[in-house]
Amino acid sequence: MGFSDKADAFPRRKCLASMFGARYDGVSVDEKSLILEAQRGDLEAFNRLVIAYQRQVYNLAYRLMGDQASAEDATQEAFVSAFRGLRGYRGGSFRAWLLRIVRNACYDEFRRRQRRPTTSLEELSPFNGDATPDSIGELIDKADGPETATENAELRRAIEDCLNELPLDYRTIAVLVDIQGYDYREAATVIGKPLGTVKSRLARARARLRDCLQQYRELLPSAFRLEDETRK
Amino acid sequence: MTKGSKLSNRDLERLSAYLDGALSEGEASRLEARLHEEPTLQQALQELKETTQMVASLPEVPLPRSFTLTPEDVGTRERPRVYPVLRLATALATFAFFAVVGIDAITSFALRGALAPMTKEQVAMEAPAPAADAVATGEVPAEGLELEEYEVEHEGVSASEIPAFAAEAENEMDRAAPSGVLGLTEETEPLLPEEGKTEAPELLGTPTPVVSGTAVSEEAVAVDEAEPEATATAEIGPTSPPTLTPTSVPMSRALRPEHRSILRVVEFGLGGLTLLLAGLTIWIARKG
Repeated sequence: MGFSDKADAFPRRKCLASMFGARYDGVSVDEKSLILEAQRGDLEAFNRLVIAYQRQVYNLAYRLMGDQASAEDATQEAFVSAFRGLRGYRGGSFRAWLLRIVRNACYDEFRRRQRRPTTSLEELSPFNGDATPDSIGELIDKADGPETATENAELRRAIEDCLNELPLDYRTIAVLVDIQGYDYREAATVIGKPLGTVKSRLARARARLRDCLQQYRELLPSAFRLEDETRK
Repeated sequence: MTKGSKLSNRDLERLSAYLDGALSEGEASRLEARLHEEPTLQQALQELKETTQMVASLPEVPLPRSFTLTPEDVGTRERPRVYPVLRLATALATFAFFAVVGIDAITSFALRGALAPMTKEQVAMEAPAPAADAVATGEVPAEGLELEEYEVEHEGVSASEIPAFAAEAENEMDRAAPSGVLGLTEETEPLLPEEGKTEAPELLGTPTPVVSGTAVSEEAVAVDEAEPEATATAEIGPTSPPTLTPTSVPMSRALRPEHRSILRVVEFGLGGLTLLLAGLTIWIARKG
């Protein structure tokens, strides 16, 4: 393996970076003016910001919460909190500010769940039994053949299981950097920690994911073997 | 995989940061040198890279719905665009209402203060109409003419004229009262000078109370216009026929009631408009 192909190893990151530019969902975002209008109470202006960022916010919530219903609740709560607390926004990355709010909403929900004695650990796991079929089904690429689709679904389910097993702090940073493609600085803003913390948490998260996926590698050998063979 | 787990946390962080291009040039070159020499480190890097690629392969989750907020979501209801206009109109109407009320109060107070010295004069002026009617019918007793007031009112008139005027008027009254019939010529003189004398302090330029206000100014103008005739009347004395008619008395009398009635109408109108606009604004705000 050459050591100069780091950028090529993260085409998704480059793709995401281009997506988060001035245009998103075909909507031209004059972010500053929209934020100023929204700070004056203009809900319509705020909703344009919601349209621009809802996908990223929801995806973070989904990856942290693990199920659609909880992610929807957290996303909705985050946007409502963001609108009400918009006067507290003091510049910087608005996206990071929004993501931090939804991250906090997810953390609050987890704390609430932990306080509920009747909630079992299985219920907390977003990818167990009944909770997963819909979400996994959404992830299957219908264009592939049935076998490939099944393998992909199993692999994705395995990755999601491993993600879910991570401590919340590690999961958050892995989702932000490895799934959503944010750089360390923006991830640090979202979690409200210094860059060093981001680096160490990310390294530990990746190490845990690697160990976890090794288990599934035996269970789902074809996908990994094919990937290994093509890489070699 | 087991080899990677033997890595120190420090090396793990370096490899992770190296994958993301987050190492400085010096750190990166040192790590690359180690990677060439240490196969375990290279294996660990490869495993981390595969792991990150697998995690990054998770697709973006489609949105189940739009998360745009409604006014109910954020606890506020959007108000119709006419709301700010109505609010401004209500404020302006309220301001105008209080302004008009204030102007009315100020002018009323000023007029009252200015006309206070003329109060008794006004009372006396009220008398001629019924008095004249009564006199015409001869049913008015002499006591109804209030000669005491008549004397008091004319303190401002020149000393040389008033005593004679008052005395003559008193005599005339004494003469007229027993007869019970007052003619419109000689017999009515005691009454007619009363009107003339009412204006006397002003007509003769004797000291008059300081009066502010437009009505008084108009009065002064009217008096100025009537001055030659009135002066002549005063010079002629109480025996001359009256030259001042009720229509030539101070304009403040003739115009002030009209002004007041207009002010009242404006006040009521503005008050009603304010209430209407305020009610409408509140209704729209609540209905929102």
